[in-house]
Amino acid sequence: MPVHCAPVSRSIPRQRVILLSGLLLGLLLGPSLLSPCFADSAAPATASTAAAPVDLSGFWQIKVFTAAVPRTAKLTPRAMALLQASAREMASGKVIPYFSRWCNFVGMPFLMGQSPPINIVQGSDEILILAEQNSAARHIYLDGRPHPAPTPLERRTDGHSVGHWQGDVLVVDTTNFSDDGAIGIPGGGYRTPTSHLVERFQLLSGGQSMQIESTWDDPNVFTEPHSYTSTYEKLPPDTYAYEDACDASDAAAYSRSGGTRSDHMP
Amino acid sequence: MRAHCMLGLLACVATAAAAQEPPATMPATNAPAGLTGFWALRFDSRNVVPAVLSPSVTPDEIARHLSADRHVIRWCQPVGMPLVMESSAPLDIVQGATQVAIASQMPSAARHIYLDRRTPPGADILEPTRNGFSIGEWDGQTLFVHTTGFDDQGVTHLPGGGFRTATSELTERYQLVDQGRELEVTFTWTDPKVLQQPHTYAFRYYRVARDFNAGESFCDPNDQERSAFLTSSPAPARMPESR
Repeated sequence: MPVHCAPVSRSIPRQRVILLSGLLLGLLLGPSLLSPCFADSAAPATASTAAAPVDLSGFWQIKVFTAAVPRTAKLTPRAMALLQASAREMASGKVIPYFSRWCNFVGMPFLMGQSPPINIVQGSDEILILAEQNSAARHIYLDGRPHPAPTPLERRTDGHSVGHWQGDVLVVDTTNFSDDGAIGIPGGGYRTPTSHLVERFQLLSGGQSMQIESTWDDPNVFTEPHSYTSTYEKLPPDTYAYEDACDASDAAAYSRSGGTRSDHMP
Repeated sequence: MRAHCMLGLLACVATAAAAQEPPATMPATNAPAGLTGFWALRFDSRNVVPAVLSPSVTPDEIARHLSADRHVIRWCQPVGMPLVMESSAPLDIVQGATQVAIASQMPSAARHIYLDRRTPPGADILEPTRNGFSIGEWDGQTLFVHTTGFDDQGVTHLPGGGFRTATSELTERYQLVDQGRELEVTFTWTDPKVLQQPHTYAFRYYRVARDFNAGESFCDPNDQERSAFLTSSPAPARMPESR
């Protein structure tokens, strides 16, 4: 039977969490005030050697940026209007997206499609996907849990992802998106709280490349599911992660930007 | 087996006992298991002693670092080590075959602890970062992590006093205790510019119930309410926004 708890992310306005933790440097406000539920059961003492079908771990470099995905998305009239409005803003000189100017988390699908490599770390019942860009980690839960209820406090720029293996293919289902960050979707459209994404991760070429088929649906944005495929190359094993250093306080860097535009452009 | 909740400002309401499922499979590895999961600090988690600072560290220097830390928070910049390990929300540790990753909800890059290499990249190519470059090695059931390659950006404050610099080095020891319910992490910082002697402290993390979902601390430095709360001045150079 499930236990219903109130983890931090669901119960405290998100900015207050970092605000308080950062303001007091974690010294004055004890974490006891923000306690989640703790496990009573013991963890496994040793690793099981019964592996998942494949190990996706490693650094992966996308071969063709998702910005180059053909604009094939079939958009609703409202989505088309927002896209055109965003294009007009850009044509008028507002070339910097809001998320970029203000160093917001980029979120999905931006973090999967840009030039710096992504790092996949595959654990026993969870896969982390880590990006160099300013973003939260993607957590893909493999333990059979359901998506949480789509309440406003359960929305994230990366959404909530659960995965399972179909043979050698990892199928990842993601919901609970927010509309913050870089919301443009390759090929047209944009992410909203009603978006639903299914991805199929598959290793190719003896594990030296990886293909991800992404399919988005959203009744508010697409008139039919929108799919595209991305291919990644595995980088050498001595590759290591860099850190993004976006500084929103550097106003001079944006002084000639002409203002920021909305983020509906892919 | 079941999960229980801690009472605090946010009360966790346990509506029923939960059967703890058996562990899922792991990628093939010779490493001991068990670090994977969400881990939270609690009121009794910190064992921190005051750091013995180098005589060369002046009050002005400490004040400059604290001011810089506040700037980082105000502008939602990545905090880095060691504050990332003090997140009030649970840390997510995923133990892979060649890397242990630690993800925090704070604005910060994840920590990458490489298990498949013995030396960091050469100084001529290694780009210093807030989290540094971490190499891990198992000694029995204990994971030792050595981190170099720090920069002086982000929140640099060290628990107990002092601050992280480009010459800081950190050694951590990760050890499961109480049959894997708890994770003891001992941190030892050295830095000839800041610390007169190695500075050691320990945190004890508690394993969070398995169905916990990671949250996201979305931080927007253009949030005027937040800005006003943190500082007396609004965000500079604010332009009309289309959002």
